[in-house]
Amino acid sequence: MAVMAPTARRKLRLPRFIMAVPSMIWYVAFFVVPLLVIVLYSFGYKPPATAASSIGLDRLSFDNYTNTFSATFNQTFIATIRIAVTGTLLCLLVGFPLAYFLATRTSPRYRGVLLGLVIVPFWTSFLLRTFAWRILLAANGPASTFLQSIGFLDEPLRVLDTRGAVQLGVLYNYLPLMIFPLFVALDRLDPALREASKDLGAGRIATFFQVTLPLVMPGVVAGLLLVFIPLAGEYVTPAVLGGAKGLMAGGLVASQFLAALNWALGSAMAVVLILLILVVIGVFAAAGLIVRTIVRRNRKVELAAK
Amino acid sequence: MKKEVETIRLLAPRATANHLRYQLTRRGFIRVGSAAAGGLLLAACGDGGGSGGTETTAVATTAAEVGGDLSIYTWAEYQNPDNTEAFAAANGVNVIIDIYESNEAAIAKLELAGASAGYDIVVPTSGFIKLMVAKDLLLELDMARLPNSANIDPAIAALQNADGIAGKYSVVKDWGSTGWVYDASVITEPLATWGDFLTVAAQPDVSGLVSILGAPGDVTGIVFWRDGIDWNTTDPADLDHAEEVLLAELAPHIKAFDSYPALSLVAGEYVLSQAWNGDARVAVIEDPERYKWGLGAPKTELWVDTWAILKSAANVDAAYAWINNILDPAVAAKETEWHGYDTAVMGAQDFLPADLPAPEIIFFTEEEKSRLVAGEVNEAQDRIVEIYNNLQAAAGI
Repeated sequence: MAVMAPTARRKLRLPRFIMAVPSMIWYVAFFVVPLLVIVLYSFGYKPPATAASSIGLDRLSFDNYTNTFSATFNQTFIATIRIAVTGTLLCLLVGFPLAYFLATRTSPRYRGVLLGLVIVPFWTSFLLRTFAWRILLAANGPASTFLQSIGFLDEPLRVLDTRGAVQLGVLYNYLPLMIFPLFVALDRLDPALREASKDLGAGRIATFFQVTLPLVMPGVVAGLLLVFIPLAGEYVTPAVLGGAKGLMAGGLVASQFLAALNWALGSAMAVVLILLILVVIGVFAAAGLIVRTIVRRNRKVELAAK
Repeated sequence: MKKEVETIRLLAPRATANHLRYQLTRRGFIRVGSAAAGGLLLAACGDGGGSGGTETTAVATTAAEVGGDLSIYTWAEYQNPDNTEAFAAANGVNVIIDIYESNEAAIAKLELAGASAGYDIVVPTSGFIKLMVAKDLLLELDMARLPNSANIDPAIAALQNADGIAGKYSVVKDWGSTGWVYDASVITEPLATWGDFLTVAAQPDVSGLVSILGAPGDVTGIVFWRDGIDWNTTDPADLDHAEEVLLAELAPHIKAFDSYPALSLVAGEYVLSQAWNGDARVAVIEDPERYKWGLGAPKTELWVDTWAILKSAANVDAAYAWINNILDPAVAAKETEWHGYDTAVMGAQDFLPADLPAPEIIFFTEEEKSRLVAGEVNEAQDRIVEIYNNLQAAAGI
């Protein structure tokens, strides 16, 4: 028989990265390019209000960065990171028990329904849900009236337009983003591993900290990142619930663009916010790695015969 | 309360529903889908420096005289939906209303989006027209296409055209002023001047429950009006003085920067609010015994809002038709009923109902008119915005 020419049989092979091309185009066009524009603007300056454009780029400087770190704005950046870190940790504390309950203590038959209930709030607009809190927590609102009628408060509830209200709002708004990755991680965990741990003599607490928690760590990290990053750039919740006292960096950036018409300073603030988020994640990642190293060293078991 | 906006359907106690509806439209946070879609979508916007929302009046297109879509970029609760629907039906135009919170925000969005913003009409305050003209955003109006512009009170038109530019690019929509509205169950002695406003704001039971307008010029104005300094001053010493007073005497007492404080005042969130007369009137109508309005003194603002057509407008014919229609005295009267401002359309008062509530907050006495100072946007604008930003930051600490 004649030998087929090898080239005739060769299939058309596309490069492997072809599957990533659509999303790459999307990211370059709508993320990388705007980001570069923002970085460029952050070195520009604000021309007078009567000028034809709201950004001057013919002389570039670091002035906007100096202004960003002025005392007044610093306060807002520090408060932003504090709200974001506290909010993320609160989401973990509140979300973990629920995810654990859903994944390990509920019948698989109802699990889907219960999980569905977690996303029910997402069926309503984020904004509308946040506004609902304004009605609930108003000084003349139902929560205030109730707490006064049972004698818990002597005067109207004064929680709206404070950082406390923002903290409450972000916990509520971001909780599902924490629960889902935790649930997935816990659900994938083979129950046999926990049983084995107990068979081998570990108590409930030891099993949780030495078996369950290390195995679901990727889910915990995913949840922390999913909550922390959007929360640090949060704009809607403080705008609705925060008033003058609850200002976060996102609102500061928006007011530079929309009220001050100072795109240059607003851009510099946006860049600083991005860098600050990266720094905080870096610090927490480093701390996490150090803790893990110490724990592993202390728990090391020598299997080799002496 | 005012008429329900038809495009929002919700099941809630009446008081809650009214409040929510007010917040949604008045604060302009929500993008409300057309009546047909009936959905609620999130718009990326907010209060601290927020922007828009949309109300669509979907009307069966019958007699297509003008036709097409007409997009109006304006302030919250600023046009009577009855008039909008009537115009839409008569002209076969689909009217889309989008909302902004300050002139600065509107200019920023129009400049950033360029023609792609897709608006036909915008409603800037007269002093800002020249900034928009400098940015090449506005169309010079052909007054021959606006025969009803002859109905506008020449005295107000003269104020609107103070810089000689605004008159070419816009016509008067309505005018109003700034004062205060307060909860008389907490503040017992009446306020007479801006000096009283600052003194009362510092009282222990008022401090921390004060709202200030989200408009930089109105905030620095408090000091200039109080101290007899020209509101349109460009002297750096005057501006430094305003900043000093605001940071020391007002910043510690501010709860929120809110351009539409009336309903939050009624909800008990504020005790004292700086407010525009039309919005203050909403609170006074709610409970005239409890909520009291006062026009600023010894001096206070006179602003004139205008209709202008964008250079990028897709439907210039509909834009002219809209503006001309709304300058008709009968139509203008219905606008006043809705937003609580004087339209400056001569003859409109004849069409107002005799039992119009709180007319004294719409139409000022001669003595009150003598307190009004027309604002201009000049080279101090950047410094004024800077002072406002510093006040915002200081109030947040």
